[in-house]
Amino acid sequence: MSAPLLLILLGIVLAISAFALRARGWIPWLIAAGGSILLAAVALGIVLGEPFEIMGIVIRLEAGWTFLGRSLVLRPESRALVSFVFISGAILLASGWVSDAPRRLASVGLLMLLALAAALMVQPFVFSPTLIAAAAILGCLVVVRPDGRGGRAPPRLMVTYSLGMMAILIAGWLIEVGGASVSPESPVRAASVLLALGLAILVITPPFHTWLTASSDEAHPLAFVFVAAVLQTGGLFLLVNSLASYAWMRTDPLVYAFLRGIGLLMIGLGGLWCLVERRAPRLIAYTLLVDFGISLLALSLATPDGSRIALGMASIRPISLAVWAAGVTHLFAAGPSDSQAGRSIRKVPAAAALLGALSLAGFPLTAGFHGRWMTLGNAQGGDVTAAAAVVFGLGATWLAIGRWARGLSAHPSEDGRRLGRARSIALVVGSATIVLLGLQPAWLFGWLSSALGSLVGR
Amino acid sequence: MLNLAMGIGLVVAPLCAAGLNLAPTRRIALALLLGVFAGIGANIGLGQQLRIGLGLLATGALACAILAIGFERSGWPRQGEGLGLMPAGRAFRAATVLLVAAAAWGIAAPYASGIGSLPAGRVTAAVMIVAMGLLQLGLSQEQGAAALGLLTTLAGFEVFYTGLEPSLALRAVLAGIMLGVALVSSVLLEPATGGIEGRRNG
Repeated sequence: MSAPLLLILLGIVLAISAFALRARGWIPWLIAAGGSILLAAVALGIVLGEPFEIMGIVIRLEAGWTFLGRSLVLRPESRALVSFVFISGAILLASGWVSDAPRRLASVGLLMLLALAAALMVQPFVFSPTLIAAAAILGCLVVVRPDGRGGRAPPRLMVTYSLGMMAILIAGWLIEVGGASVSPESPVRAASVLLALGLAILVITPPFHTWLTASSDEAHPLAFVFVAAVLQTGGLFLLVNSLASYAWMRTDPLVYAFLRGIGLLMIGLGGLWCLVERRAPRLIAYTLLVDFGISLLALSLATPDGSRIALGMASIRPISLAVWAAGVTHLFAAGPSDSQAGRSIRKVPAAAALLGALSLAGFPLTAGFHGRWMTLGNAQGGDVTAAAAVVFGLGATWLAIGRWARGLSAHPSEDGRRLGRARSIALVVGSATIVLLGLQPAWLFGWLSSALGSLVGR
Repeated sequence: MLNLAMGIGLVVAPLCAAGLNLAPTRRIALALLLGVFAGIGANIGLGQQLRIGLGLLATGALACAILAIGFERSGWPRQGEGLGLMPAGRAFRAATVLLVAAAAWGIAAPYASGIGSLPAGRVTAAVMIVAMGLLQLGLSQEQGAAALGLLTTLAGFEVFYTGLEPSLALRAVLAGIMLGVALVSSVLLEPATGGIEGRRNG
């Protein structure tokens, strides 16, 4: 048997179980989050190529699985990335129960994680965007309106990722035919434009971000942040994996100039939109854009440190988003109407939502701060534009979230007993994790250095 | 005879794709989408590999059937109903289709013979089908129209890409993407009252 096939079969069984038991309260979320952790453990820890024994049965797992002449291979350098995808998903799926997310998210979310894991394992790499597009198409099922109907977000998401997939597939063929280069002197210069377009779509660069804002308006907060975080991580990993795998790409200054350009664009536009936006979910969508932009700016440093910062930020993002979504869902106490005006806010969810948002915005003493601080430290001196962009992004998002918090403080508050003890404890634990990782960033970034060292060190 | 059938396929597919932008009802739109897949399936099947052509035809037929179920559940909405911001007049749409078709032809024809080993006619047809699909996507953001436009675009992409990368595995993955688009759109086309989430939460 092969490890990729085992992962896929196990994931499908877990997704079917989560779907079958979707009406059983916290059970589907336990299956989805626990299953994701199990899949992460299998991807990271399983012995490949040598026989081992489980409950008296001798098993030997191979690293590769061939299907229709193409392979899924769990390579040593991709094991940590696959595991990373599942753990990120598990954090967000665990929040599903606390935030009363749509039940189909548990099973669909697991399938999305499987598609992204397959995108990281597939050989040759040209197949990766097709699997990321498949994940996006699955995501359309969860970024729906509360009544289950699709609004503006699903068609936009579906179309955007399908077009991105087509652009990268054509670019891959052009590079293959014209030689492994995208430099301006190459006869396949068109490939660089298509590749840039495709990657810009996958990492959610404006103007290809419209599905993000539409889903923030329409979908449940957790569904919106799950799809955004997971798909952006898929795009980022495709980029990091490509940089690690292809020397011509790694050594081409145009690639880094492009990453720097889209990073600056995302920070600039995201920051400006944060300054003019008043609605909380949209504010988070724009703060996410700034966060994505800063991680791309870090990646454009073309150093192992830059990759480490980008991956570190990607690992903290799900924690911040999960806590924000869980908090913001229970923010307002039940009132006579759907309108938020005059309704009481619950203290614990409000604190959690605020901490999650502040961490996403990189506020000091929260988990999200360290990535920005390191990006700023690396950009100082040589790169005034990048440093100024990071400072602007930080200022704009802090200001916007501060304004939102001030708006919340105008509401009367209640202690939130009706929320239930278990949910309150979960919110407190999530908030404490954000503060703890803010105080001890070395725990996460240190682990990343050892776990992803083979990838970021190249 | 074979060349004639292939040529007909290359003409029928872009014409059906253009007609999709003007189709007054979803039933006609689905028939036209099937026409797009039949055209490209005939061309690729007879000119390149029969199994790929048949696979495309089967994918198109399945996608249309899945979409038909979704449209049936949502009461066969007409073009522009729902979220779509469809410009009102069919004359306007016809003019747009003509302009975009002319632009696609003008862009594709001069370069068509220089792309891989693909026949110039096939590249031009592919560009025109993709342009018509993108036009459909640009004219409406309603889920049904988006699915029809996206499937047309993907069909046009397949005409082009099958010639460049004839791998069966890639065909299978792209067929999966097309069926995924149809299936997800069909689910999201369900009316709110009978929606899956409504049933589960209720």
